[in-house]
Amino acid sequence: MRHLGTVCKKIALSAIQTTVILIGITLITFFILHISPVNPAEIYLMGNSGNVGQISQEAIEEQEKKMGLDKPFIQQYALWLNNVVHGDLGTSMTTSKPVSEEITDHAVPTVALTAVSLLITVLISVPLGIYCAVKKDKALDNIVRIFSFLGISMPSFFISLLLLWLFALKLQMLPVIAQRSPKGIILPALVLIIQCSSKYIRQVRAVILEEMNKDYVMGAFARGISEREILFKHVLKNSAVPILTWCGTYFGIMLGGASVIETIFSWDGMGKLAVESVMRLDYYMIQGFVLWTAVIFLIVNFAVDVAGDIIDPRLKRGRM
Amino acid sequence: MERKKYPVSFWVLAVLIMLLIAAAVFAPVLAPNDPNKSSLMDALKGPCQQFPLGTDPLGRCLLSRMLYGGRVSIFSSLIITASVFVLGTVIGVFSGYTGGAVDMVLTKIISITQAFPKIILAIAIAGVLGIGIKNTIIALCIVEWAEYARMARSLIRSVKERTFIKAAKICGCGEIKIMFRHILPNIIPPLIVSASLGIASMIMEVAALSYLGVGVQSPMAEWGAMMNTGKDYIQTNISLVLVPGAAIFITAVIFNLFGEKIRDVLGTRN
Repeated sequence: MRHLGTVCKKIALSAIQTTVILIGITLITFFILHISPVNPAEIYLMGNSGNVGQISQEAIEEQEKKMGLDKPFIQQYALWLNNVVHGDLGTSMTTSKPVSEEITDHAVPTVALTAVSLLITVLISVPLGIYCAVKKDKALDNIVRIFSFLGISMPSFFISLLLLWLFALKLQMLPVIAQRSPKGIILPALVLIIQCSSKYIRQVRAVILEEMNKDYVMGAFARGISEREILFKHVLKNSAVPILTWCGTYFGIMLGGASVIETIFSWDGMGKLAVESVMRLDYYMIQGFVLWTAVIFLIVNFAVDVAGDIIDPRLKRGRM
Repeated sequence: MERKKYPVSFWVLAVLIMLLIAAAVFAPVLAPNDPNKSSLMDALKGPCQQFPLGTDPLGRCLLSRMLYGGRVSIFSSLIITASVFVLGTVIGVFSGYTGGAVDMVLTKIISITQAFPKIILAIAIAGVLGIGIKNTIIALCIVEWAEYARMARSLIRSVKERTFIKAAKICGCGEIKIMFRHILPNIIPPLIVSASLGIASMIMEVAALSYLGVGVQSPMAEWGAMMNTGKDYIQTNISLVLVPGAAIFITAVIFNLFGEKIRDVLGTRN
Protein backbone atom coordinates (compact mmCIF):
# COMPACT_ATOMS: atom_id res chain seq x y z
CA MET A 1 0.00 0.00 0.00
CA ARG A 2 2.85 2.34 0.72
CA HIS A 3 3.77 2.14 -2.94
CA LEU A 4 0.44 3.52 -4.04
CA GLY A 5 1.01 7.10 -2.87
CA THR A 6 4.42 7.43 -4.46
CA VAL A 7 3.24 5.76 -7.64
CA CYS A 8 0.38 8.29 -7.95
CA LYS A 9 2.75 11.17 -7.36
CA LYS A 10 5.10 9.75 -9.97
CA ILE A 11 2.31 9.39 -12.50
CA ALA A 12 1.28 13.02 -12.08
CA LEU A 13 4.86 14.23 -12.34
CA SER A 14 5.72 12.17 -15.36
CA ALA A 15 2.45 13.11 -17.08
CA ILE A 16 3.68 16.71 -17.17
CA GLN A 17 7.15 15.67 -18.31
CA THR A 18 5.67 13.37 -20.94
CA THR A 19 3.57 16.16 -22.41
CA VAL A 20 6.58 18.47 -22.60
CA ILE A 21 8.70 15.80 -24.32
CA LEU A 22 5.94 14.78 -26.75
CA ILE A 23 5.31 18.38 -27.78
CA GLY A 24 9.05 18.97 -28.11
CA ILE A 25 9.60 15.92 -30.28
CA THR A 26 6.69 16.53 -32.63
CA LEU A 27 7.52 20.24 -32.89
CA ILE A 28 11.10 19.45 -33.87
CA THR A 29 9.96 16.85 -36.41
CA PHE A 30 7.47 19.32 -37.85
CA PHE A 31 10.18 21.94 -38.08
CA ILE A 32 12.63 19.59 -39.83
CA LEU A 33 9.94 18.66 -42.35
CA HIS A 34 8.96 22.30 -42.74
CA ILE A 35 12.44 23.44 -43.77
CA SER A 36 12.69 20.59 -46.25
CA PRO A 37 12.90 21.78 -49.86
CA VAL A 38 10.26 19.28 -51.00
CA ASN A 39 6.63 20.36 -51.17
CA PRO A 40 4.26 17.77 -49.66
CA ALA A 41 1.32 19.09 -51.69
CA GLU A 42 3.19 18.25 -54.86
CA ILE A 43 4.00 14.78 -53.53
CA TYR A 44 0.35 14.26 -52.63
CA LEU A 45 -0.84 15.24 -56.12
CA MET A 46 1.82 13.15 -57.77
CA GLY A 47 0.61 10.10 -55.86
CA ASN A 48 2.33 7.06 -57.22
CA SER A 49 2.49 8.26 -60.82
CA GLY A 50 5.50 10.45 -60.12
CA ASN A 51 4.67 12.88 -62.93
CA VAL A 52 5.39 16.48 -61.96
CA GLY A 53 4.88 18.17 -65.28
CA GLN A 54 1.15 17.65 -65.50
CA ILE A 55 0.22 19.33 -62.24
CA SER A 56 -0.68 22.96 -62.56
CA GLN A 57 0.44 25.63 -60.13
CA GLU A 58 -3.19 26.32 -59.18
CA ALA A 59 -3.79 22.70 -58.30
CA ILE A 60 -0.72 22.71 -56.06
CA GLU A 61 -1.84 25.89 -54.34
CA GLU A 62 -5.32 24.52 -53.85
CA GLN A 63 -3.93 21.34 -52.38
CA GLU A 64 -1.65 23.37 -50.11
CA LYS A 65 -4.70 25.22 -48.84
CA LYS A 66 -6.53 21.94 -48.29
CA MET A 67 -3.63 20.55 -46.30
CA GLY A 68 -3.22 23.78 -44.36
CA LEU A 69 0.27 24.32 -45.74
CA ASP A 70 -0.44 27.92 -46.75
CA LYS A 71 -0.61 28.94 -43.11
CA PRO A 72 2.41 29.98 -41.03
CA PHE A 73 4.48 27.22 -39.47
CA ILE A 74 3.28 27.60 -35.87
CA GLN A 75 -0.35 27.72 -36.95
CA GLN A 76 0.14 24.54 -38.95
CA TYR A 77 1.62 22.82 -35.95
CA ALA A 78 -1.16 24.06 -33.65
CA LEU A 79 -3.74 22.75 -36.09
CA TRP A 80 -2.08 19.37 -36.20
CA LEU A 81 -1.74 19.25 -32.42
CA ASN A 82 -5.40 20.18 -31.99
CA ASN A 83 -6.41 17.37 -34.31
CA VAL A 84 -4.20 14.90 -32.48
CA VAL A 85 -5.71 15.84 -29.13
CA HIS A 86 -9.09 15.08 -30.68
CA GLY A 87 -7.85 11.71 -31.85
CA ASP A 88 -7.19 12.57 -35.50
CA LEU A 89 -3.64 11.89 -36.64
CA GLY A 90 -4.31 13.08 -40.18
CA THR A 91 -4.19 11.28 -43.49
CA SER A 92 -1.20 9.65 -45.11
CA MET A 93 -0.13 11.67 -48.13
CA THR A 94 0.85 8.64 -50.16
CA THR A 95 -1.80 6.04 -49.41
CA SER A 96 -4.65 8.46 -48.51
CA LYS A 97 -5.54 6.21 -45.58
CA PRO A 98 -5.84 7.62 -42.05
CA VAL A 99 -2.47 7.62 -40.28
CA SER A 100 -3.96 5.87 -37.25
CA GLU A 101 -5.15 3.05 -39.49
CA GLU A 102 -1.72 2.70 -41.12
CA ILE A 103 -0.07 2.61 -37.70
CA THR A 104 -2.37 -0.06 -36.26
CA ASP A 105 -1.98 -2.03 -39.47
CA HIS A 106 1.83 -1.94 -39.41
CA ALA A 107 2.14 -2.26 -35.65
CA VAL A 108 0.91 -5.85 -35.70
CA PRO A 109 3.94 -7.34 -37.53
CA THR A 110 6.34 -5.24 -35.46
CA VAL A 111 4.70 -6.31 -32.20
CA ALA A 112 4.88 -9.95 -33.31
CA LEU A 113 8.54 -9.62 -34.26
CA THR A 114 9.29 -7.84 -30.98
CA ALA A 115 7.49 -10.44 -28.86
CA VAL A 116 9.35 -13.36 -30.42
CA SER A 117 12.76 -11.68 -30.52
CA LEU A 118 12.67 -10.13 -27.06
CA LEU A 119 11.47 -13.30 -25.38
CA ILE A 120 14.23 -15.41 -26.92
CA THR A 121 16.84 -12.69 -26.33
CA VAL A 122 15.99 -12.57 -22.62
CA LEU A 123 15.84 -16.36 -22.32
CA ILE A 124 19.31 -16.64 -23.87
CA SER A 125 21.05 -13.60 -22.44
CA VAL A 126 20.07 -13.46 -18.78
CA PRO A 127 20.98 -17.05 -17.81
CA LEU A 128 24.06 -17.05 -20.01
CA GLY A 129 25.21 -13.67 -18.71
CA ILE A 130 24.79 -14.80 -15.11
CA TYR A 131 26.55 -18.10 -15.79
CA CYS A 132 29.47 -16.35 -17.51
CA ALA A 133 29.85 -13.93 -14.61
CA VAL A 134 29.92 -16.72 -12.05
CA LYS A 135 32.25 -18.91 -14.12
CA LYS A 136 34.41 -16.00 -15.19
CA ASP A 137 37.35 -16.88 -17.50
CA LYS A 138 36.24 -20.50 -17.79
CA ALA A 139 35.85 -22.15 -21.21
CA LEU A 140 32.18 -21.31 -21.79
CA ASP A 141 32.68 -17.71 -20.68
CA ASN A 142 35.49 -17.27 -23.19
CA ILE A 143 33.47 -18.81 -26.03
CA VAL A 144 30.43 -16.66 -25.26
CA ARG A 145 32.61 -13.59 -25.01
CA ILE A 146 34.14 -14.21 -28.43
CA PHE A 147 30.73 -14.75 -30.02
CA SER A 148 29.13 -11.71 -28.41
CA PHE A 149 32.14 -9.65 -29.41
CA LEU A 150 31.80 -10.74 -33.03
CA GLY A 151 28.06 -10.02 -32.79
CA ILE A 152 28.51 -6.40 -31.75
CA SER A 153 31.05 -5.83 -34.51
CA MET A 154 28.73 -6.80 -37.36
CA PRO A 155 26.22 -4.36 -38.83
CA SER A 156 22.66 -5.68 -38.88
CA PHE A 157 22.41 -5.48 -42.66
CA PHE A 158 25.52 -7.62 -43.08
CA ILE A 159 24.14 -10.33 -40.75
CA SER A 160 20.79 -10.07 -42.55
CA LEU A 161 22.27 -10.45 -46.01
CA LEU A 162 24.45 -13.39 -44.94
CA LEU A 163 21.49 -15.21 -43.37
CA LEU A 164 19.33 -14.39 -46.36
CA TRP A 165 21.96 -15.78 -48.69
CA LEU A 166 22.49 -18.92 -46.64
CA PHE A 167 18.96 -19.91 -45.60
CA ALA A 168 16.81 -18.42 -48.33
CA LEU A 169 19.00 -18.72 -51.40
CA LYS A 170 21.51 -21.54 -50.85
CA LEU A 171 19.54 -23.92 -48.63
CA GLN A 172 16.13 -22.62 -49.79
CA MET A 173 14.67 -23.38 -46.38
CA LEU A 174 13.01 -20.03 -45.79
CA PRO A 175 11.26 -17.43 -47.96
CA VAL A 176 13.27 -14.47 -49.31
CA ILE A 177 10.35 -12.09 -48.82
CA ALA A 178 8.80 -12.48 -45.39
CA GLN A 179 5.39 -10.89 -46.08
CA ARG A 180 3.94 -11.56 -42.64
CA SER A 181 4.10 -15.34 -42.97
CA PRO A 182 4.96 -17.35 -39.85
CA LYS A 183 7.98 -18.83 -41.59
CA GLY A 184 9.08 -15.39 -42.68
CA ILE A 185 9.49 -14.17 -39.11
CA ILE A 186 12.39 -16.56 -38.47
CA LEU A 187 15.16 -14.66 -40.26
CA PRO A 188 14.36 -11.10 -39.11
CA ALA A 189 13.88 -12.40 -35.57
CA LEU A 190 17.18 -14.27 -35.77
CA VAL A 191 19.05 -11.09 -36.75
CA LEU A 192 17.45 -9.13 -33.91
CA ILE A 193 18.24 -11.92 -31.43
CA ILE A 194 21.89 -12.12 -32.55
CA GLN A 195 22.31 -8.36 -32.32
CA CYS A 196 20.55 -7.80 -29.02
CA SER A 197 21.85 -10.94 -27.26
CA SER A 198 25.43 -10.02 -28.15
CA LYS A 199 25.02 -6.76 -26.27
CA TYR A 200 22.71 -8.01 -23.54
CA ILE A 201 24.90 -10.95 -22.45
CA ARG A 202 27.84 -8.59 -21.99
CA GLN A 203 25.71 -6.14 -20.03
CA VAL A 204 24.25 -8.80 -17.72
CA ARG A 205 27.71 -10.28 -17.16
CA ALA A 206 29.21 -6.87 -16.33
CA VAL A 207 26.41 -5.97 -13.91
CA ILE A 208 26.66 -9.30 -12.03
CA LEU A 209 30.47 -9.12 -11.90
CA GLU A 210 30.32 -5.60 -10.50
CA GLU A 211 27.88 -6.71 -7.82
CA MET A 212 29.97 -9.78 -6.95
CA ASN A 213 33.00 -7.57 -6.31
CA LYS A 214 31.22 -5.61 -3.61
CA ASP A 215 32.24 -5.90 0.02
CA TYR A 216 29.02 -7.43 1.26
CA VAL A 217 29.50 -10.44 -1.03
CA MET A 218 32.96 -11.01 0.36
CA GLY A 219 31.48 -10.63 3.84
CA ALA A 220 28.84 -13.22 3.06
CA PHE A 221 31.48 -15.61 1.76
CA ALA A 222 33.51 -15.06 4.91
CA ARG A 223 30.50 -15.96 7.04
CA GLY A 224 30.36 -19.27 5.19
CA ILE A 225 27.18 -18.64 3.22
CA SER A 226 27.03 -20.83 0.14
CA GLU A 227 27.74 -19.35 -3.27
CA ARG A 228 24.30 -20.40 -4.48
CA GLU A 229 22.57 -18.55 -1.68
CA ILE A 230 24.67 -15.41 -2.14
CA LEU A 231 23.98 -15.42 -5.87
CA PHE A 232 20.24 -16.03 -5.79
CA LYS A 233 19.33 -14.23 -2.58
CA HIS A 234 21.54 -11.16 -2.78
CA VAL A 235 23.47 -10.60 -5.98
CA LEU A 236 20.61 -11.26 -8.40
CA LYS A 237 18.18 -9.18 -6.37
CA ASN A 238 20.58 -6.26 -6.31
CA SER A 239 21.40 -6.41 -10.01
CA ALA A 240 17.79 -6.91 -11.13
CA VAL A 241 17.17 -3.21 -11.78
CA PRO A 242 19.95 -2.55 -14.32
CA ILE A 243 19.18 -5.87 -16.04
CA LEU A 244 15.53 -4.88 -16.29
CA THR A 245 16.44 -1.41 -17.54
CA TRP A 246 18.44 -2.86 -20.42
CA CYS A 247 15.59 -5.21 -21.24
CA GLY A 248 13.27 -2.19 -21.40
CA THR A 249 15.68 -0.42 -23.74
CA TYR A 250 15.65 -3.36 -26.17
CA PHE A 251 11.89 -3.57 -25.94
CA GLY A 252 11.65 0.10 -26.93
CA ILE A 253 14.17 -0.24 -29.76
CA MET A 254 12.40 -3.30 -31.19
CA LEU A 255 8.92 -1.80 -30.96
CA GLY A 256 10.17 1.35 -32.65
CA GLY A 257 10.73 -0.92 -35.61
CA ALA A 258 14.06 -2.28 -36.75
CA SER A 259 14.07 -0.25 -39.96
CA VAL A 260 17.05 -1.83 -41.68
CA ILE A 261 16.12 -5.42 -40.84
CA GLU A 262 12.45 -4.95 -41.72
CA THR A 263 13.42 -3.37 -45.03
CA ILE A 264 15.80 -6.17 -45.99
CA PHE A 265 13.35 -8.97 -45.21
CA SER A 266 10.31 -7.04 -46.50
CA TRP A 267 8.72 -7.45 -43.06
CA ASP A 268 5.87 -4.99 -43.35
CA GLY A 269 6.18 -3.37 -39.91
CA MET A 270 6.68 0.07 -38.39
CA GLY A 271 10.35 0.31 -39.25
CA LYS A 272 9.80 -0.31 -42.95
CA LEU A 273 6.81 2.03 -42.94
CA ALA A 274 8.94 4.72 -41.29
CA VAL A 275 11.75 4.46 -43.81
CA GLU A 276 9.29 4.59 -46.70
CA SER A 277 7.43 7.56 -45.22
CA VAL A 278 10.62 9.49 -44.66
CA MET A 279 11.80 8.80 -48.19
CA ARG A 280 8.47 10.07 -49.57
CA LEU A 281 8.35 12.91 -47.04
CA ASP A 282 4.89 11.88 -45.93
CA TYR A 283 4.45 14.61 -43.26
CA TYR A 284 1.60 13.22 -41.20
CA MET A 285 2.76 9.64 -41.46
CA ILE A 286 6.20 10.64 -40.14
CA GLN A 287 4.59 12.66 -37.35
CA GLY A 288 2.45 9.67 -36.46
CA PHE A 289 5.46 7.39 -36.39
CA VAL A 290 7.52 9.77 -34.27
CA LEU A 291 4.61 10.03 -31.86
CA TRP A 292 4.40 6.23 -31.72
CA THR A 293 8.09 5.73 -30.89
CA ALA A 294 8.12 8.60 -28.41
CA VAL A 295 5.09 7.23 -26.56
CA ILE A 296 6.68 3.77 -26.45
CA PHE A 297 9.97 5.23 -25.23
CA LEU A 298 8.22 7.12 -22.45
CA ILE A 299 5.96 4.23 -21.41
CA VAL A 300 8.91 1.83 -21.29
CA ASN A 301 11.00 4.28 -19.27
CA PHE A 302 8.15 4.85 -16.89
CA ALA A 303 7.41 1.15 -16.48
CA VAL A 304 11.08 0.41 -15.82
CA ASP A 305 11.20 3.21 -13.24
CA VAL A 306 8.15 1.97 -11.39
CA ALA A 307 9.26 -1.66 -11.53
CA GLY A 308 12.68 -0.60 -10.27
CA ASP A 309 11.13 1.17 -7.28
CA ILE A 310 9.14 -1.91 -6.41
CA ILE A 311 12.09 -4.29 -6.74
CA ASP A 312 14.64 -2.05 -5.09
CA PRO A 313 13.28 0.33 -2.44
CA ARG A 314 16.70 2.00 -2.16
CA LEU A 315 16.09 3.76 -5.46
CA LYS A 316 12.91 5.39 -4.24
CA ARG A 317 14.56 6.75 -1.14
CA GLY A 318 17.45 8.01 -3.21
CA ARG A 319 15.22 9.89 -5.57
CA MET A 320 13.01 11.60 -3.03
CA MET B 1 50.95 8.31 -8.72
CA GLU B 2 51.67 4.99 -10.34
CA ARG B 3 52.28 5.16 -14.04
CA LYS B 4 49.69 3.25 -16.04
CA LYS B 5 50.87 0.08 -17.73
CA TYR B 6 50.10 -0.47 -21.36
CA PRO B 7 50.03 -4.20 -22.22
CA VAL B 8 51.58 -5.52 -25.43
CA SER B 9 48.14 -6.20 -26.91
CA PHE B 10 47.38 -2.48 -26.59
CA TRP B 11 50.33 -1.62 -28.81
CA VAL B 12 49.49 -4.39 -31.29
CA LEU B 13 45.99 -2.96 -31.68
CA ALA B 14 47.33 0.57 -31.90
CA VAL B 15 49.57 -0.54 -34.77
CA LEU B 16 46.62 -2.27 -36.48
CA ILE B 17 44.58 0.93 -36.24
CA MET B 18 47.49 2.89 -37.67
CA LEU B 19 47.60 0.39 -40.54
CA LEU B 20 43.87 0.84 -41.18
CA ILE B 21 44.22 4.60 -41.21
CA ALA B 22 47.31 4.35 -43.40
CA ALA B 23 45.41 2.11 -45.84
CA ALA B 24 42.70 4.76 -45.99
CA VAL B 25 45.13 7.66 -46.40
CA PHE B 26 47.22 5.92 -49.04
CA ALA B 27 44.26 4.43 -50.91
CA PRO B 28 45.28 6.23 -54.14
CA VAL B 29 48.71 4.60 -53.94
CA LEU B 30 47.53 1.15 -52.87
CA ALA B 31 44.53 0.79 -55.15
CA PRO B 32 45.39 -1.17 -58.29
CA ASN B 33 42.73 0.60 -60.38
CA ASP B 34 40.67 3.78 -60.54
CA PRO B 35 37.72 3.08 -58.18
CA ASN B 36 35.23 4.95 -60.36
CA LYS B 37 36.33 3.75 -63.78
CA SER B 38 33.56 1.53 -65.05
CA SER B 39 33.70 -0.64 -68.09
CA LEU B 40 30.78 -2.92 -68.83
CA MET B 41 33.14 -5.32 -70.56
CA ASP B 42 34.63 -6.17 -67.15
CA ALA B 43 31.32 -6.32 -65.24
CA LEU B 44 30.95 -8.91 -62.46
CA LYS B 45 34.30 -10.54 -63.06
CA GLY B 46 35.82 -12.95 -60.58
CA PRO B 47 39.22 -12.35 -59.04
CA CYS B 48 41.93 -12.07 -61.69
CA GLN B 49 45.30 -10.44 -62.12
CA GLN B 50 43.96 -7.02 -63.06
CA PHE B 51 41.17 -7.06 -60.45
CA PRO B 52 42.40 -8.96 -57.35
CA LEU B 53 38.93 -9.14 -55.79
CA GLY B 54 36.88 -9.04 -58.96
CA THR B 55 34.55 -6.30 -60.20
CA ASP B 56 31.08 -4.92 -59.49
CA PRO B 57 28.10 -4.73 -61.90
CA LEU B 58 29.59 -1.62 -63.53
CA GLY B 59 32.96 -3.27 -63.97
CA ARG B 60 34.65 -1.25 -61.23
CA CYS B 61 37.51 -2.80 -59.27
CA LEU B 62 36.19 -4.11 -55.92
CA LEU B 63 39.53 -3.91 -54.12
CA SER B 64 40.07 -0.30 -55.16
CA ARG B 65 36.53 0.62 -54.14
CA MET B 66 37.01 -1.10 -50.81
CA LEU B 67 40.21 0.88 -50.14
CA TYR B 68 38.62 4.18 -51.17
CA GLY B 69 35.47 3.28 -49.25
CA GLY B 70 37.57 2.89 -46.12
CA ARG B 71 38.54 6.54 -46.39
CA VAL B 72 34.92 7.63 -46.22
CA SER B 73 33.83 5.13 -43.58
CA ILE B 74 36.78 5.49 -41.20
CA PHE B 75 37.31 9.23 -41.45
CA SER B 76 33.65 10.17 -41.29
CA SER B 77 33.13 8.02 -38.20
CA LEU B 78 36.22 9.49 -36.54
CA ILE B 79 34.97 13.00 -37.29
CA ILE B 80 31.50 12.21 -35.94
CA THR B 81 32.83 10.56 -32.78
CA ALA B 82 35.23 13.43 -32.08
CA SER B 83 32.53 16.06 -32.67
CA VAL B 84 29.85 14.43 -30.53
CA PHE B 85 32.42 13.73 -27.82
CA VAL B 86 33.36 17.41 -27.60
CA LEU B 87 29.86 18.75 -28.12
CA GLY B 88 28.21 16.30 -25.72
CA THR B 89 30.85 16.77 -23.03
CA VAL B 90 30.67 20.57 -23.18
CA ILE B 91 26.88 20.59 -22.99
CA GLY B 92 26.76 17.92 -20.28
CA VAL B 93 29.42 19.60 -18.16
CA PHE B 94 27.76 22.99 -18.55
CA SER B 95 24.37 21.55 -17.66
CA GLY B 96 25.56 19.55 -14.67
CA TYR B 97 27.85 22.25 -13.29
CA THR B 98 25.39 25.13 -13.62
CA GLY B 99 22.38 23.23 -12.29
CA GLY B 100 19.03 24.94 -11.74
CA ALA B 101 16.81 26.04 -14.60
CA VAL B 102 19.54 25.74 -17.26
CA ASP B 103 20.12 22.15 -16.22
CA MET B 104 16.42 21.39 -16.33
CA VAL B 105 15.98 22.75 -19.85
CA LEU B 106 19.10 21.01 -21.17
CA THR B 107 18.09 17.72 -19.56
CA LYS B 108 14.73 17.95 -21.31
CA ILE B 109 16.48 18.59 -24.63
CA ILE B 110 18.73 15.59 -24.02
CA SER B 111 15.70 13.41 -23.24
CA ILE B 112 13.88 14.62 -26.34
CA THR B 113 16.86 13.82 -28.55
CA GLN B 114 17.20 10.37 -27.02
CA ALA B 115 13.49 9.61 -27.40
CA PHE B 116 13.76 9.99 -31.18
CA PRO B 117 14.19 6.86 -33.23
CA LYS B 118 17.85 7.47 -34.12
CA ILE B 119 18.09 6.07 -37.61
CA ILE B 120 14.77 7.61 -38.68
CA LEU B 121 15.79 11.04 -37.42
CA ALA B 122 19.10 10.69 -39.23
CA ILE B 123 17.31 9.72 -42.45
CA ALA B 124 14.92 12.66 -42.09
CA ILE B 125 17.74 15.14 -41.49
CA ALA B 126 19.83 13.69 -44.32
CA GLY B 127 16.72 13.85 -46.52
CA VAL B 128 16.10 17.50 -45.69
CA LEU B 129 19.73 18.61 -46.00
CA GLY B 130 20.20 16.57 -49.14
CA ILE B 131 22.06 13.34 -49.75
CA GLY B 132 25.83 13.33 -49.36
CA ILE B 133 28.58 12.43 -46.91
CA LYS B 134 28.78 15.91 -45.35
CA ASN B 135 25.09 15.88 -44.50
CA THR B 136 25.31 12.32 -43.21
CA ILE B 137 27.98 13.47 -40.78
CA ILE B 138 25.86 16.43 -39.66
CA ALA B 139 22.78 14.23 -39.27
CA LEU B 140 24.57 11.65 -37.14
CA CYS B 141 26.13 14.40 -34.98
CA ILE B 142 22.67 15.84 -34.28
CA VAL B 143 21.45 12.39 -33.28
CA GLU B 144 24.42 11.18 -31.24
CA TRP B 145 25.57 14.04 -28.99
CA ALA B 146 22.89 13.46 -26.36
CA GLU B 147 24.39 10.21 -25.11
CA TYR B 148 27.69 11.90 -24.21
CA ALA B 149 25.90 14.91 -22.74
CA ARG B 150 23.83 12.68 -20.46
CA MET B 151 26.90 10.76 -19.37
CA ALA B 152 29.02 13.87 -18.79
CA ARG B 153 26.20 15.44 -16.80
CA SER B 154 25.75 12.50 -14.47
CA LEU B 155 29.53 12.18 -14.04
CA ILE B 156 29.99 15.82 -13.14
CA ARG B 157 27.11 15.72 -10.70
CA SER B 158 28.66 12.82 -8.83
CA VAL B 159 32.13 14.40 -8.82
CA LYS B 160 30.88 17.84 -7.78
CA GLU B 161 29.65 16.55 -4.45
CA ARG B 162 32.86 14.73 -3.55
CA THR B 163 34.88 15.90 -0.56
CA PHE B 164 38.01 16.86 -2.48
CA ILE B 165 36.06 19.43 -4.46
CA LYS B 166 34.71 20.93 -1.26
CA ALA B 167 38.22 20.90 0.14
CA ALA B 168 39.51 22.71 -2.94
CA LYS B 169 36.78 25.32 -2.56
CA ILE B 170 37.59 25.85 1.10
CA CYS B 171 41.24 26.28 0.18
CA GLY B 172 40.21 29.18 -2.01
CA CYS B 173 40.60 27.47 -5.36
CA GLY B 174 38.95 29.39 -8.21
CA GLU B 175 36.03 28.04 -10.24
CA ILE B 176 38.09 27.69 -13.40
CA LYS B 177 40.92 25.93 -11.64
CA ILE B 178 38.49 23.56 -9.94
CA MET B 179 36.94 22.78 -13.29
CA PHE B 180 40.14 22.09 -15.19
CA ARG B 181 42.42 20.73 -12.46
CA HIS B 182 39.97 18.73 -10.39
CA ILE B 183 36.72 17.98 -12.16
CA LEU B 184 37.66 17.36 -15.80
CA PRO B 185 40.48 14.87 -15.10
CA ASN B 186 37.95 12.80 -13.17
CA ILE B 187 35.20 12.74 -15.76
CA ILE B 188 37.15 12.58 -19.02
CA PRO B 189 38.46 8.97 -18.83
CA PRO B 190 35.01 7.29 -18.79
CA LEU B 191 33.96 9.52 -21.68
CA ILE B 192 37.07 8.61 -23.66
CA VAL B 193 36.31 4.94 -23.09
CA SER B 194 32.79 5.27 -24.38
CA ALA B 195 33.98 7.33 -27.35
CA SER B 196 36.57 4.75 -28.32
CA LEU B 197 33.98 2.00 -28.05
CA GLY B 198 31.61 4.18 -30.07
CA ILE B 199 33.80 4.49 -33.17
CA ALA B 200 32.87 1.03 -34.46
CA SER B 201 29.16 1.58 -34.04
CA MET B 202 29.54 4.92 -35.82
CA ILE B 203 31.17 3.15 -38.79
CA MET B 204 28.17 0.83 -38.85
CA GLU B 205 25.68 3.68 -38.63
CA VAL B 206 27.28 5.60 -41.48
CA ALA B 207 27.22 2.38 -43.48
CA ALA B 208 23.57 1.74 -42.55
CA LEU B 209 22.54 5.17 -43.82
CA SER B 210 24.44 4.62 -47.06
CA TYR B 211 22.93 1.17 -47.31
CA LEU B 212 19.45 2.69 -47.11
CA GLY B 213 20.44 5.12 -49.84
CA VAL B 214 20.56 8.37 -47.86
CA GLY B 215 24.26 8.47 -47.04
CA VAL B 216 26.98 8.59 -49.61
CA GLN B 217 26.05 9.45 -53.13
CA SER B 218 27.08 7.27 -56.03
CA PRO B 219 29.63 6.97 -57.65
CA MET B 220 31.60 7.68 -54.45
CA ALA B 221 32.75 4.42 -52.87
CA GLU B 222 31.55 3.66 -49.33
CA TRP B 223 31.17 0.29 -47.63
CA GLY B 224 27.43 0.54 -46.91
CA ALA B 225 26.70 1.86 -50.38
CA MET B 226 28.77 -0.95 -51.91
CA MET B 227 26.66 -3.48 -50.03
CA ASN B 228 23.51 -1.80 -51.27
CA THR B 229 24.72 -2.33 -54.84
CA GLY B 230 25.82 -5.85 -54.04
CA LYS B 231 22.58 -7.03 -52.48
CA ASP B 232 20.83 -7.26 -55.85
CA TYR B 233 23.48 -9.70 -57.05
CA ILE B 234 23.59 -11.72 -53.85
CA GLN B 235 22.39 -14.90 -55.55
CA THR B 236 25.06 -15.01 -58.23
CA ASN B 237 27.92 -13.02 -56.77
CA ILE B 238 28.10 -13.03 -52.98
CA SER B 239 31.55 -11.41 -52.99
CA LEU B 240 29.92 -8.04 -53.80
CA VAL B 241 28.40 -8.19 -50.30
CA LEU B 242 31.22 -10.09 -48.61
CA VAL B 243 34.05 -7.70 -49.51
CA PRO B 244 32.58 -4.49 -48.05
CA GLY B 245 30.89 -6.45 -45.26
CA ALA B 246 34.17 -8.05 -44.21
CA ALA B 247 35.84 -4.63 -44.38
CA ILE B 248 33.26 -3.16 -41.96
CA PHE B 249 33.45 -6.22 -39.73
CA ILE B 250 37.26 -6.32 -39.47
CA THR B 251 37.50 -2.57 -38.91
CA ALA B 252 34.80 -2.73 -36.25
CA VAL B 253 36.50 -5.65 -34.49
CA ILE B 254 39.82 -3.79 -34.36
CA PHE B 255 38.28 -0.55 -33.08
CA ASN B 256 36.15 -2.43 -30.52
CA LEU B 257 39.13 -4.42 -29.23
CA PHE B 258 41.12 -1.21 -28.97
CA GLY B 259 38.25 0.44 -27.08
CA GLU B 260 38.17 -2.42 -24.60
CA LYS B 261 41.92 -2.16 -24.10
CA ILE B 262 41.61 1.56 -23.44
CA ARG B 263 38.91 0.77 -20.89
CA ASP B 264 41.18 -1.73 -19.15
CA VAL B 265 44.11 0.67 -19.16
CA LEU B 266 42.14 3.63 -17.87
CA GLY B 267 40.51 1.30 -15.35
CA THR B 268 37.10 2.90 -15.41
CA ARG B 269 35.31 -0.36 -14.78
CA ASN B 270 34.70 0.26 -11.09
